[in-house]
Amino acid sequence: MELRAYIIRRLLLLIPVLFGVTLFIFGITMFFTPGQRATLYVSAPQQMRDLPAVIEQYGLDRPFIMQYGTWIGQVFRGNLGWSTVVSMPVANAILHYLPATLELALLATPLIIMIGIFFGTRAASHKDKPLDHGTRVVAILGWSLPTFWLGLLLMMVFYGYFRGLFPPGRLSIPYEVAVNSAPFIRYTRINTLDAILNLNGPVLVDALRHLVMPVITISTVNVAFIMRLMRSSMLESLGKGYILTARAKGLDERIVIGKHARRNALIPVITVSGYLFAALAGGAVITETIFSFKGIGWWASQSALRLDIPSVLGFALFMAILFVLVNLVVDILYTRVDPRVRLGGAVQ
Amino acid sequence: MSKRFSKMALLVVVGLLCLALVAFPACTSTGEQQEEEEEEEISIPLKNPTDFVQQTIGDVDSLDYSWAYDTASGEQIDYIYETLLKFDGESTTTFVPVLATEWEELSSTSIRFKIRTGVKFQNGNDMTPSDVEYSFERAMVLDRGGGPTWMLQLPLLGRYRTRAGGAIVVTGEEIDNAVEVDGDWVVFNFAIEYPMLQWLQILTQSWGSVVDKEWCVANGEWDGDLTGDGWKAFNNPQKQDRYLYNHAMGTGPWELDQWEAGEYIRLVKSDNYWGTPVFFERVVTQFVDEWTSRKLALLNGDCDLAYVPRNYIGELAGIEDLNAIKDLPELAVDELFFNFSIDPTSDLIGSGQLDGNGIPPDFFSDVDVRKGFCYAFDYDTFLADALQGEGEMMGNPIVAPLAGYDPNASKYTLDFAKAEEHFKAAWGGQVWEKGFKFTMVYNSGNVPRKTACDILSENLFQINEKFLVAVQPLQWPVILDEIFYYAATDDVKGPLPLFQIGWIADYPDADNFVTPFMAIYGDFAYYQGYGYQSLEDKIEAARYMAPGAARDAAYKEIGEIFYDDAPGIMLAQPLGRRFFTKYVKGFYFNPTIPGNPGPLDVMSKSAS
Repeated sequence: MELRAYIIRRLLLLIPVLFGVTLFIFGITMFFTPGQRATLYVSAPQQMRDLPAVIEQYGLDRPFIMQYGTWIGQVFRGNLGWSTVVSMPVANAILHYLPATLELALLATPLIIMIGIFFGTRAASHKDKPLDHGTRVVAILGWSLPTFWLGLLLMMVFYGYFRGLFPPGRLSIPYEVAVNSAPFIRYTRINTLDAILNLNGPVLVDALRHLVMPVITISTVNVAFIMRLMRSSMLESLGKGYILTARAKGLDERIVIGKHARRNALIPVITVSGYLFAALAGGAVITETIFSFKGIGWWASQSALRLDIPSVLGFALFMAILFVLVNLVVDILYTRVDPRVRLGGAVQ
Repeated sequence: MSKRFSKMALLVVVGLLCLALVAFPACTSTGEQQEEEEEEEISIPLKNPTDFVQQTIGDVDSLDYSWAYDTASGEQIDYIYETLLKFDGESTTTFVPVLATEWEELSSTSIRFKIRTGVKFQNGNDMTPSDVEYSFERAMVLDRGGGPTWMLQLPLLGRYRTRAGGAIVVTGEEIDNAVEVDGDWVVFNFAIEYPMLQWLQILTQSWGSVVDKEWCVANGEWDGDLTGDGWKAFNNPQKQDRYLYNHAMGTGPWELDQWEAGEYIRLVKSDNYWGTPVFFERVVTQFVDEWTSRKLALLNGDCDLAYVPRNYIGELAGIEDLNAIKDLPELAVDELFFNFSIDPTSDLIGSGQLDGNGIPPDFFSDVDVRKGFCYAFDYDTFLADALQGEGEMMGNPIVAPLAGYDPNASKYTLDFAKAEEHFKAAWGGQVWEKGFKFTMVYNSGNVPRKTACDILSENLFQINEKFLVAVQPLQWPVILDEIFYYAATDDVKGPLPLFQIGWIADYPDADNFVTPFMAIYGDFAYYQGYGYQSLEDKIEAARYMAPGAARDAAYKEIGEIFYDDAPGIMLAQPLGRRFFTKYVKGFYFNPTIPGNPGPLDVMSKSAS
């Protein structure tokens, strides 16, 4: 199937997906009474006498279809609603908090993939030897460590014991002022990238200092997974006949492993890596909360806790779009890595 | 070989896991040994010497003085804006002039304030009496649902809200007449008789702030015109529709620099401040949810004040470079309310009959039942365990240091014998004979409230094994809904047999506590079905009394009525705490100042 047509077809499928996701979430929120949903706007006892008026003002007691229809109508006009949790439009909230999460994801994902692939390959090529066992132990540990525990431990060591070597948050106060003042231009709101684009070394260093702990935290669990996946895939690949042929031909072992076996072993890793990035881009709630690195995950969790329905719906839309796009990219990449696979699912 | 290595790997894994288990408690730093080490080793460096930085939880809701009704917003508004007067130091009854230089009562329904000259807004505009008039009129024009302006509207317009049944029921002329400019004076004309002391107290809070009219109008706010119906378009707005929600223009010592919602808000010293120059160049409030992060920031000197939850106080004990200020009486109190008329369809009351498998909807209408419950509660254990001693158990809603507070007021104590006596008298002896069974709820995640429920449940069972009370957590929005919106009528209230909720004062007057807890249409009393006319008459009479011994005595009498009626189990007035670094000087406590840092305008920071 031609690539362009394939992409268009996949993007068109996004519409029913988004419709289904939002209808589902909206339906769940209807299990909350109007009074419960109104407590987003009024919560102190002094305000409770106004609860009925607030419900009427926000239309919280109108029928489900009317509320959903109103919301859909606003969405088509480009208005995703207002995020009460962070006091800005939902669309703005996504654009505001996404850069922080992207910054984490963009730094962590290559790290996870490179380390996972490297050690997975080494483990497979040294099967049942100390290196293989060692990586297995590391993988088990990494997979088992609770994220919050690891995060707190890192903070106590690097921010506490080493007196602020790697602090939480995104930037120190002086650099927060600097990035929000001329001549610094916030092109992307990704601090490291903006610092590079502004040729500002001090901001870059400060931003990187604040990234060390959260990146290590979210990488640890995911490296373990990629490592084990790569190992399994490599072992399967190394058992194939063409590897035996390559060795019989006298090829250097590094070429056998690196060029022939690993390339084929990467296929499932590519698939998983795509979802990994999407999951990270959707926000690592615990990591973002512990390190005050407030991104989209933190925003989404706060919105859910406080029944900020427009925010929850906006986040759901964002994640649905993200996963559909990631799926599309992964499927296209698949065809590049495995020439046997054609777009549309056919395998030669 | 392979099996041997597998065994070794397994041993290594087990060993590492054991190490982790040992390391984890050592890292949670609550042991005495760790406290001793911290006492010896922790030295907090002085950073950001001209800034004040605090780390706390939550976020600002709005910077609009007429919108904000939460502490976090009130704190920032307090730094940016000023009011006509404020409390004198730690006092909650005496005032000092701020934007007004003097005031005088013209009659029982009129008071005027002479406006200070030479005051500038942060943009350099001069403050005039018309700005004051505009600020109060704007607050009433907007009157957002659930907002604080009812405290202005009740005396000035004679009603809580400008709307009823969805329609605006006041005229522009009424609002215009309520606040008038007379030369250098601004005159407030009340629509009803209203205690002047309360009015002055209300004016000290954030909803009494003065904003620049010219700047507001230039940025799309209401233009000040009350003729015609144009002003109605501004009534009850969405928060985001108003410019002032995230912009500010006051006369205060700091102006808004930047607010990143959920992350931080930063104020900078205003060059146009008219008053005594303040010390801090910047005031930064960072919103940090994680306690460990806040604690380490405090110990690293990255912040000067951090919010310390009660259960983590021990982690900061004995650190010399910290200035821990404790036992600060907050104007707040908690109560476990009895529902006098439970909704019969409630699924929390079992059979709905007094048959040992439930309770009838009017179970708590019997005073002996209520007193039995009051004597069954272990107040000392609750204070020690749930509040870690940070509170004063109350006998009635009037808290310290308000006029009318009585430290010797009658209070219930744990007394199984008296509890048994009252239970045996309740409902003609049926309660004791048949027993009862129901479920009480608390808002999930709130440990003190869960503790209160558990204490009561266990003690009731000890008194009589037929007294069965289950305890169940519910989400806070659900609880609020079931207390306040569950179609409560004058005769039938919500489905919760008991509910636990607290009150934080709007202004420091006993009436602001007595009315919600005891008036027929009080914010709490109505929803539990308490209140009656003779009590209502006493509350109203006390409200309008002049401050003094007679008023104090009237409130003490009301307090004793609360004790006799036992409409709920009165819990504690919380005692707050502040943890500053030793470098911060000049703090004093006034419970009416919103937020934790206190009077930053007179505070400073130095190494000595």
